[in-house]
Amino acid sequence: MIIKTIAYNTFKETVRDKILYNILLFALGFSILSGIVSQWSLNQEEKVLQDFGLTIISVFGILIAVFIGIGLLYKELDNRTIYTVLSKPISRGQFLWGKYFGLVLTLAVNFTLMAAGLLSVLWLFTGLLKVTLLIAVGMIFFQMTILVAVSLFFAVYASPVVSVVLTLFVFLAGNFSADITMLNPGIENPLFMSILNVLFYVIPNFSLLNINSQIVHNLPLNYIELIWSIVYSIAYSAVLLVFGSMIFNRKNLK
Amino acid sequence: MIKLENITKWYSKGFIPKKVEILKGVTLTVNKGDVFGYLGPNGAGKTTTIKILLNLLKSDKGSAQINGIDVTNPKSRQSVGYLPEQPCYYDYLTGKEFLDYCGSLFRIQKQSLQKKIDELLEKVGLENARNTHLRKYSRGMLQRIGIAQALINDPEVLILDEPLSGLDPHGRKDVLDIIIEQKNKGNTIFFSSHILADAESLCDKIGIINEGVLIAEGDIDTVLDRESASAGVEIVYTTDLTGIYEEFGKFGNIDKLQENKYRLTMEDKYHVNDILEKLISSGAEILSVNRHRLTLEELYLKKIR
Ligand SMILES: Nc1ncnc2c1ncn2[C@@H]1O[C@H](COP(=O)(O)OP(=O)(O)OP(=O)(O)O)[C@@H](O)[C@H]1O
Ligand SMILES: [Mg+2]
Repeated sequence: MIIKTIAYNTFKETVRDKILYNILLFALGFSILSGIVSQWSLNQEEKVLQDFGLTIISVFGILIAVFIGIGLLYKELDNRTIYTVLSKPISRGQFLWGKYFGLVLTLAVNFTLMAAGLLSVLWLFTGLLKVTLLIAVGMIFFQMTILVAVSLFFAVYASPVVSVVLTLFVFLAGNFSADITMLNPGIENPLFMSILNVLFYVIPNFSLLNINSQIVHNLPLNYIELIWSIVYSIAYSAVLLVFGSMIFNRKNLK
Repeated sequence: MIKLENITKWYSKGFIPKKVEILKGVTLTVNKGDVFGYLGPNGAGKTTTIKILLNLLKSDKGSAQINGIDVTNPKSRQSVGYLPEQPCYYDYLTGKEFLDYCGSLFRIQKQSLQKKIDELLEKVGLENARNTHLRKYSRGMLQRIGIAQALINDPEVLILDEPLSGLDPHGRKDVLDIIIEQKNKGNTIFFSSHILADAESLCDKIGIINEGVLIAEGDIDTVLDRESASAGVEIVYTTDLTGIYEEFGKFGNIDKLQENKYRLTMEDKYHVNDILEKLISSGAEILSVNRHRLTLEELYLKKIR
């Protein structure tokens, strides 16, 4: 109930925030641009357009999850609007979960719009109506829900700049974490290897949720694996938010 | 009921962090139905104490309770209304939406909440601004909406950090009336202020804090009486005796109040009998002898130098 109230208010804030419209406008501009660019890549336009579109959706997802997520929490702490909320009979954990779901709702609405945009652009330029793209967009969405949790986790105690840098680092590392362990660095130092191992398990594995190339190239999908990946993303966010709430609970508000 | 026990708070300050003690073991109790004025100069630690009561800051030592529940438990805030020092509210919400949000955080039912919102907007004089975004509110309007949100849950305990600041004379009167109304309902009110006249007229109890130490606390009359015990005496009499008894000047100040009406104000009470004898033997008529009772303002200025 309380979490829902806070989530809805957060969503309202993002909707009334002009930044969001700018982001969407950019997304639209980019999709049209990608349509035009794809005209030049002979015979490949379908694939290029899909690839390009999914990448754009990822980028705008990151912008929302990282910049709006960290920005909103920071603004709330800095402007002290948080006083009026936390002086009510709610816990800081509930506040953080509320923010999380509010941002996830924002993402969901934006992803729906962007997905619709991608399908339309593709259909307009190539005449292809490819509904399976929605699965790829959905998986990107689940990547972003993890990223929102990472953003909030850092933003409850670090400064906004540090939070943004750390979150982006986690995103990059999480995209390549599978490759890191595969590639043998040739360093036999056991300490280094164990740090690498811990990082591998701690940093979220975003590549699990990246099925862009399978979708674009119409390869078969393992649905069981996909469902497990979604469960993984939810569990990961939940654990992170529990830790985030514990840290937030000790914080002195300026 | 509010209870603070040995509350201590440190901050680290400076480039090379140095611990500074902001609250040095504050202990005080505000009973149900009391109006408590928390007074002290800028930087004394009033806001810090209040934020600890709402769990916005964590105390480093000691414990704080509201209605018997430790302040770290969100339930302690169920029947609390809080007005922050600086009015910082969501500027993208309208007045009505803001109150709606605050009310839902108290889990107030939709229908009774709507009624409550209308009632409060009227009470604080913002009916016409109900659909205006808070970013377009003036400072005083924000203070009013702040009061309204503090009353949304019909709180038994009101914690107000400088409720009268930023208001015009009408606004001050409105807020004073609201505080008196809450007091008459039997609610507990804890408010901080610099304005001693307000405190004197509103409070049953006061606490004066300076540099993190509570230097006077208790029933306002008791505190003033106690502190006045060592204060001076005023004698009002007829006849100008200044010329006759030079030494009178040493005991205190003589003011001419009217023709044939003089007042001798003395710092202490030790020579009262002597002086009275001298006055009578010189043919003066004694109009009154009073122990001077400190006003809250005098007490405050005496305590905080
Ligand atoms: N975040 C902070 N970091 C370091 N010191 C702080 C912080 N907040 C407050 N202080 C210090 O704590 C002391 C008490 O501040 P507080 O705000 O409680 O005073 P106050 O009694 O409310 O004063 P005022 O009447 O001006 O509102 C001040 O010396 C202030 O400098
Ligand atoms: Mg203050």
